Amino acid sequence: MRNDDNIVDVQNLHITFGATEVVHGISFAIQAGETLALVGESGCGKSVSALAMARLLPFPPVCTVEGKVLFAGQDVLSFSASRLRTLRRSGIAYVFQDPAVALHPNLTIGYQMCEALQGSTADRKKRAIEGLALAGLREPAALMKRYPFTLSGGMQQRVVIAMALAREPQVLVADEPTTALDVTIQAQILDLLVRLQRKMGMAMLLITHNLGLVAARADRVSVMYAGHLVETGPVERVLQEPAHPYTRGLLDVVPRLEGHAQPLEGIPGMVPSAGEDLAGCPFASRCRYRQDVCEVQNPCLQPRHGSDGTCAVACHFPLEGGKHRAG
Amino acid sequence: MQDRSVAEPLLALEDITVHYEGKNRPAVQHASIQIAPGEITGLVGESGSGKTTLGLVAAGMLRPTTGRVLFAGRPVDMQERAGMRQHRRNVQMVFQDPAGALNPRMTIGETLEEVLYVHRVALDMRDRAQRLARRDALLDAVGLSSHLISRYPHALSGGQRQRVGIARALAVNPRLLVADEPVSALDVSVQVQILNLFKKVNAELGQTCLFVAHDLAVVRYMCARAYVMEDGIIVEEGYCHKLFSNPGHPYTQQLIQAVPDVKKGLEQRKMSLFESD
Repeated sequence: MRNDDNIVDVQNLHITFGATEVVHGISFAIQAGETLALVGESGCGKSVSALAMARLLPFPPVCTVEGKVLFAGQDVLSFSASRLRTLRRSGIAYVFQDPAVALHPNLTIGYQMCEALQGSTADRKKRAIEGLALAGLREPAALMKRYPFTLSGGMQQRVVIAMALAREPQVLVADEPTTALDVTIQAQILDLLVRLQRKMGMAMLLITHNLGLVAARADRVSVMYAGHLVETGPVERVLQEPAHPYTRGLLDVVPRLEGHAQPLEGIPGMVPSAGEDLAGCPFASRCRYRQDVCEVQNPCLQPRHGSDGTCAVACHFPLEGGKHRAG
Repeated sequence: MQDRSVAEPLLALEDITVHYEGKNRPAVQHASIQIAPGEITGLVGESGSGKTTLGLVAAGMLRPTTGRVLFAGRPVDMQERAGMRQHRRNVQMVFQDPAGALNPRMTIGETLEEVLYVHRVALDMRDRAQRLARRDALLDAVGLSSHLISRYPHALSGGQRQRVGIARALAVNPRLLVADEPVSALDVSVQVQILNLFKKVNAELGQTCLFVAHDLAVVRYMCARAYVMEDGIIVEEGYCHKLFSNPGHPYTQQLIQAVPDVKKGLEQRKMSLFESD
């Protein structure tokens, strides 16, 4: 899986806040033009892992980041301040969940768009308008003079996307980009992101808890639970034949439109809190297939059988064909 | 408009219009809904559709500009305090954000005791032991262990807090529960637990419920009948199995299209692969 095509290569990433380790050695890589979905529930460490890619986390002793984050082969964790600035300017761009918070309320859209650009004032303005148009916003020239609060949530998120893409980053991190938006807008925004990503050949890290969004739009998916990567692989394989009981659970807990003959079972219990001392598998207490070994030994991420190393799962008793082996 | 009326609705909102001061158009326009006793009735729409406003009217927390609220066949006097108070005892609410709905300075035990005290329902108030017994029974009914009584809301998980919210609503034996987006602030693996709790309360206590949500799949899972709202207007109503398999209104169709679904997503993928060839 690791090769020179990877624009981002995160290896054995540990993130610790104070004395609490919240990410326990995860690895993932993204190639140019590819979309990797990072899936998990709140508190599983998916957002902090993404922030660590551009070193957007607080400095020690508040937060320590260990491991390797390679961006185009260079180790970001050893970057100087000026190289970090370059990385954040045109290397990695972020789109966050709530566009109302991401935009400055007292500055016009035009001012904020031009801030990110370089060149003469007229040139910046021209490119800002082009960027807004690219993000599917109508009458971009008039929009430049408006303030964020006059726009709907969907329009605000389009502006944020236009800003993130203004410097043509090599990697776009979209952290729950549609969670704050209405369902009908959600699909539009994601389709916009995917279209622009393909057009510009960017790599995208799509962070979400919604597997339905992943199914249509990502190439590969990595599932996180309690700071661990528990399963990874191509989207079709992972969603059709999940090997980890947690992935299976995530697929099963979402109500479907066609209705249900049986009540949904759900995943019992709750996510362990960060810093809880877990000797065994972090999912063991909620897993219906738990056995003695699960309580004492944390399984490592291992390639799945017959997957050419593209799929990996961290489970002592991985499901086969999406189901548990009897006995 | 199909399945127009419910035989004897527990709650009927008739021709409700709500016009907030200073707004150009009403938040709710001429909306009528009927909630059958013992059923979970859904109210679906996007943000700004007026579904929360209509839910507040149903709960007696907002006076409509025009229109009538009928509870068990009798009109509720929304202009009079006593009428509103009586109505609020009959109807309780469960809110979207359980963290915001619980008093951070009260323990879970105090929160539940307060409701019992304030509403003085079916209890001899001099008997604290009776109140405490009722409190423990409520915790048990929503699947919380009794050692949480002395905890404060911040020490609970989101799912646990929402269970407390539900216990508090059930405390006064309301005849109708209005739940406004009760799971959208929760993690997906916890959402089903709370949805199933509503179903259990409905099945075991026969609790009538108005379930307000934006997620069609959740409404399909929970409700027998549902109303779809767009821009303050009820555009479609009907039994969920028909409504969602054969939607009549373009807005309902649009909402159904937009629901992210794994199976649908995987099919879309295949389609787009063919397109790019």
